[in-house]
Amino acid sequence: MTPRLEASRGSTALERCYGLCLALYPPAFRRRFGDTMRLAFRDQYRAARQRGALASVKVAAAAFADVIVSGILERLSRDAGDLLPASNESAPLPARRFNGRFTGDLRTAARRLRHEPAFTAVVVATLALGIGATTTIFSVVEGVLLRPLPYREPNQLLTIMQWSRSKGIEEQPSPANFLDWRNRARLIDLAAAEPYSLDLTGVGDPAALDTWRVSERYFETLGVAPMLGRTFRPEEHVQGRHAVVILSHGLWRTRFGSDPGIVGRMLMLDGEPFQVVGVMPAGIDFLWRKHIWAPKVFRDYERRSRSQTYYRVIGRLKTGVTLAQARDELASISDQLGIEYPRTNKDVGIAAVPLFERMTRSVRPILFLMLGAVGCVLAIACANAANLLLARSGARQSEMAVRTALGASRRDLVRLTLAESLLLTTAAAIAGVLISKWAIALVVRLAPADIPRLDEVGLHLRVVACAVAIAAITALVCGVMPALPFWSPSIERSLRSAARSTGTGSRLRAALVAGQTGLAVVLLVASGLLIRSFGALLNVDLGYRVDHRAALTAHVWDLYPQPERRGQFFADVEARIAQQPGVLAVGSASALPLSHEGSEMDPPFTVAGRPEPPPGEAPTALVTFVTPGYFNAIGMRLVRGRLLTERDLPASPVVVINETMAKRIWPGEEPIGQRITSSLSFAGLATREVVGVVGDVRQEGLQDRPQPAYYVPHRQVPFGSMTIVARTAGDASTGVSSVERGVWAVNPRVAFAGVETLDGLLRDTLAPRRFTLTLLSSFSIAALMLASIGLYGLMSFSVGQRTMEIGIRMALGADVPSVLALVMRQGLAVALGGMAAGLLAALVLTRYLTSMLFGVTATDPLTFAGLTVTMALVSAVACYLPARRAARVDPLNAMRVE
Amino acid sequence: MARLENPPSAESFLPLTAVVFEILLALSGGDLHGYDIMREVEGRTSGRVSLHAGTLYRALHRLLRAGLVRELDELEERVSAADAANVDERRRYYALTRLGRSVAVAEAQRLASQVTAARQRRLLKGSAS
Repeated sequence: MTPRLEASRGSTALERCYGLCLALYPPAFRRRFGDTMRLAFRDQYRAARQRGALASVKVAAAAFADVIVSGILERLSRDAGDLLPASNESAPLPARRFNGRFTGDLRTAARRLRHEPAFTAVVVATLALGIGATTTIFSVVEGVLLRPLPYREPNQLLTIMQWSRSKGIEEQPSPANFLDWRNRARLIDLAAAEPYSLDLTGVGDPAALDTWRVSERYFETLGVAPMLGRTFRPEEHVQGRHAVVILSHGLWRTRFGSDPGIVGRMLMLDGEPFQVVGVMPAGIDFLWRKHIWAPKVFRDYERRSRSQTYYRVIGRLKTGVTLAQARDELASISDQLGIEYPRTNKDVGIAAVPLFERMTRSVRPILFLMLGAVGCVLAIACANAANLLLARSGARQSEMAVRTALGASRRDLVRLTLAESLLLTTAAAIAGVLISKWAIALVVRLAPADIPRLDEVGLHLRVVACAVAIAAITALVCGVMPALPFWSPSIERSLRSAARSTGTGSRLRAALVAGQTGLAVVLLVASGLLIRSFGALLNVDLGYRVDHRAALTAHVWDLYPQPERRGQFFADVEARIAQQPGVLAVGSASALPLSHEGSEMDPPFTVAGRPEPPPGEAPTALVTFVTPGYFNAIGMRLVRGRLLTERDLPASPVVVINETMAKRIWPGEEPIGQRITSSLSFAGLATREVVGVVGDVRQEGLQDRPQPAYYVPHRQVPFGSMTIVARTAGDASTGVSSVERGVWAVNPRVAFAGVETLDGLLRDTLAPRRFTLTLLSSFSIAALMLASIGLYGLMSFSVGQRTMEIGIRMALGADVPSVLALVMRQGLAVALGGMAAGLLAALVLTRYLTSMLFGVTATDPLTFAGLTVTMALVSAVACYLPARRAARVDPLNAMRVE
Repeated sequence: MARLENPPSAESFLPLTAVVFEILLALSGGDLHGYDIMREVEGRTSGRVSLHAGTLYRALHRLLRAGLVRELDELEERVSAADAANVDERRRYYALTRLGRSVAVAEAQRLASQVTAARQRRLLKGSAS
């Protein structure tokens, strides 16, 4: 992109913002002049940019202020009264009087604000920050939690899982269970999707497409219609007629250039021709994101398989059926199946959860935490703005008193302050929306991938309406509070005490500052706890190394249907990769730690020489199939015995177990030489001898305790979906190309399903926490700054008001330290009061954080104490600066003030 | 907005606001579009008065309704613009009407008489002619 183009794009963003401001004008005016005003602004801005950055900022700020003020004025004045009084006859009298008067107020207010640019800028910036932050988070919450799903009657949709009663966890359903549920359920329509992978060739580079093979009427159950073409027909779920696919919108756009004639085209998938019959619309595939859908044909063995659990099942309540009724029916079905298939189904219940609830369950606490935090920031910002307005109105009491004496009614004064607040908050709302337009993009980029529907988050009408509502409430609060001191009945009294602060006003301001400090403490403590948790997580011993390691996943079931050839393939590939320059070690595993993909299995096993436990109570352990090089490649530690070698042939089955399994199954015994018996998929029942113990690895997540696990030689169970890990001397990305070259040297038709680096996987695991932490820390820093500015403002103002008193004290012999102490005492009393309230609130509120904490309690004394001290120090600085000014007062000058 | 049957006299508009007078003054030199007016005013006052689009078009709106200024149609624009190739179709060009010119003259005379008065009272240097 040329710089020129970029420059013009930059200014169009600003122009768009300018266009947004034009919404303030009456529609007729906007239609007539909107375009040409935008053009004029663009020309003016571009000319200013030639003169430098400062000039352009000045011009843009002036132009925005101008367009906002005249927009409001234009909307409020329905006449052309400035020039032609005669044309105004038609407006009804009361409306005219109101408009006229309020327009006058607005004009006066605008003039006054213009004369105090620093005050105006600080108030607008403070409120804009609060509104912008709130709008941003509300946008995310709206997009993720509040917007209905893009399916027909989404409230009727459920996800159905198997429920393991003994383990108390949910599992994906098995194919035979799904089929039985579907045949027996009368109150609910069920459909299933099976994760699969199809290799696409002939269109660009070969690629492994993430695929769902879906059961009959899947899309009808979900309630989506294709954008192009049709969905699958019932007869297409039969072997031989199943070679049809439906593309996701994303794949259609990226791979096929949004070709409108795609329906009917043949694609080579896994070396066979498939016909494209449809394309799905955008925005529906956030649910279990995949590239492509194909019809599922149930095989005979699948109709009997109840122990392999990998299906995703959705259900749609039939019309008039309640969730409770459906759950009852499913419960009786699972009871029946438990009786019919006691060996596999005695322990299996059915969990039906509304789809929406399941999708948002994991992110709901994070988003609500954010909403709470951002609410605090907004409250602090409003308190700060109100405080500034109050302080100013205090300073201007004599002006107000004079106005009152000249005949202005109290209502007039309130209206004038309201007009000022209206202008300030309108400007702040617009600036806030602009901030949030930018911030939403930032948040979406920062956010972890597992927040659903994040790509749909944007500035929507509802969100803008929310910002406007916030602004309106703020206007009311900030507008009325400064006017409160004037509700006192005596003009004489206000004139007399005009130069001194009124008791109510200063107490109110002190309360506001204390409140801000308290809220800031709550936010600081919350983010402090999260930071300590994050630190604790970073210090967790993973049990393996993530640096300089690339990981590529390949599915070769179809390329090598015979198990022995699969085993040979990975052995050949590893030999080739090891020869590549820079590769230090290579190995493969069926599932990597923290990858949350691959084939995770934890079948029950029995220990030789011990009585067989009753069904459902046998111990389980996580099984991984690995090549001998894997332990070295990933950096796992040998504890006892030996690692696997090339000589572990199928004839003598062996396993290597982890420390947790050794401790839990053979406490105080020698595990080496023990035997376990288990039935593994693709391998059948076998007894294996323990030959070694390796260190624990965090397989599921950083905060989960390691589970029993064992490792089976790939040669003995040649699994077809393996992730190859290469440790390189240089950057991990060089490892990626080494693995690709090595694999393609053996077979160029292999497509990679996943390409990652191990530190990338770790980063992804930490991403949700990092996201929460980043946002919450920025909010708490903003809160700290706003609260200390509030305290500083309060003390500056108070010192200003008490100049004479301080002067008298000094004339009577008070020295500098005692004046410093006087002022500091006053300020710190406010701050400490707020902090005490904040600490109490934090003690109560941090309990709700418990699920997000790791390695630290919700009432961690170190965090509480540390952040309280921080807050106290910042408060002390905020008080010290005005106090120092007070101590430098020249008594003579001070007493001359009045 | 209905046209008035009897156009008001130029004096009935006086005194003009500063912004309106600046716009009339700018247009008295020739037909201009909005940004040209802004530039003309800023240039003539060496930056002391800077006009922005919001205020300008609000004032233009009133001037158009009062009949002091009119919008040029496209054909006139091509003839009027010094560099015909530079005419931007999205822009609107504005010209003084006869009434507008006489209002500007009347305001200028009013100001001139005030300046004269100021000179006579030695508020300003220069000949009190």
